[in-house]
Amino acid sequence: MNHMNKSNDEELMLRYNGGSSDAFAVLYQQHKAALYRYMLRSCESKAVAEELYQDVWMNVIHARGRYKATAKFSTWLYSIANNRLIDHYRKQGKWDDYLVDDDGEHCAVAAQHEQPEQQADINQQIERLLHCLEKLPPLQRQVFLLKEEAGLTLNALAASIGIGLEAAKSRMRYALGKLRLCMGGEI
Amino acid sequence: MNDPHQDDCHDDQLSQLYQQSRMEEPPMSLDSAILTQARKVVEKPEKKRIWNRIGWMVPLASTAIILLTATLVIQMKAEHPELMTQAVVMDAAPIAEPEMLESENEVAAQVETALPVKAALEKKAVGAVTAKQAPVSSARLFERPSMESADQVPRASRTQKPQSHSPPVRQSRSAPPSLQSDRMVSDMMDAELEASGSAQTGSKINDELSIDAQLKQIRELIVQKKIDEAQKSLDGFRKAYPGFILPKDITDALK
Repeated sequence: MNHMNKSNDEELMLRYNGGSSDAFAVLYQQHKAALYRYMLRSCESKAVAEELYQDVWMNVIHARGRYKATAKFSTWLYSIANNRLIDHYRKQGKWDDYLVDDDGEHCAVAAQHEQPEQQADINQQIERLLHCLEKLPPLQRQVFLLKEEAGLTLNALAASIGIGLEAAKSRMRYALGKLRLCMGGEI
Repeated sequence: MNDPHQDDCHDDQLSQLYQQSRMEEPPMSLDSAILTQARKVVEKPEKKRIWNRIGWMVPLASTAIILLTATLVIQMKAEHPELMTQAVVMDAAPIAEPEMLESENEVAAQVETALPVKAALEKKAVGAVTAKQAPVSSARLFERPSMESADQVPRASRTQKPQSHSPPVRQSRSAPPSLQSDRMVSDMMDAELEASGSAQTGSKINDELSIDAQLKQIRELIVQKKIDEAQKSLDGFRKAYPGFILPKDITDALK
């Protein structure tokens, strides 16, 4: 995501609401990749991720009149994305899985079972990280992705998913701990 | 793992590694679909707003017009019911007809009330005529009723004026009040005379016949040199018709 133009996001959204489709094109260009990856890593398949990704942007388009410049655009965008994910999980009957936020052992167990050989190759490390990320409980993965992909601060991501700052910090701690454990000695 | 640059909520190494994984991009088809939709939605509202304005304005205006018209009709019906019945008549009749009907109805009503005083009016009219006007006036007075029998004349035709009388009725709207009143008086007179003629046509015919017959008889007596008898008949005639101005030939002969 291009954070250089971040300060202009709100202005662009207001301009789009005023009828400028060019403003939306710029806004879309700035946020599309991050949001796409966020959806991709939050869903079980690429097809579902793309469907939800499109839905999120459609919601942005249709809800443009309700956007207020007092809220950061990225916060607003990812709150729409999270709501869409929650709807998806509910429909799929995976809502309980999504709510798992405890310090489960499955990540660590998985890491133990899939103890990799020592790899110096960076691509392997990336693959490993993505694999570990996939194994994180959804709520922990969510805060990690919001920080890394959307560039949200803890305060912003807490507001985006509708939780308190301390809860956000807690989830982030768990997420990082599990990732480090999963990665083993690779990083 | 125990990097000094990392706190419990941030891990530089994990973050840097993750940043290198950010390769995926949405497919072009998705991009174009979303951008197209975004453009459509922004362009449509312009038309939509216009349609929304027109959309509620047209039925509102139509409803207002219908309500206004209905209110006016109801109010007119309540205040001037005669205009409404006249409007119904106008559908089937020429433009001048309603005016004629209205004025004729008024005349007919006045004639109805004026019937008892008909005889007095007739006498006044006869008495007022000059010697020159007498034959014309008497002829006018006695000819009209003779055209139709009172029994054969329907009420509508009694109140209906001849075509030649309709123009003054139409012009009466623009005429000065004095002229209007004169016309009204003359129209009333005509109507009264017509009405009285229709009511007493039989007696007038008899009078006319008797006048003509008596005058003829007097003339015949004069021709036959029966002056005394002619004088007697003339005296009887004068008693019967004191206001009647005798023809000059008779007065000259019986001087």
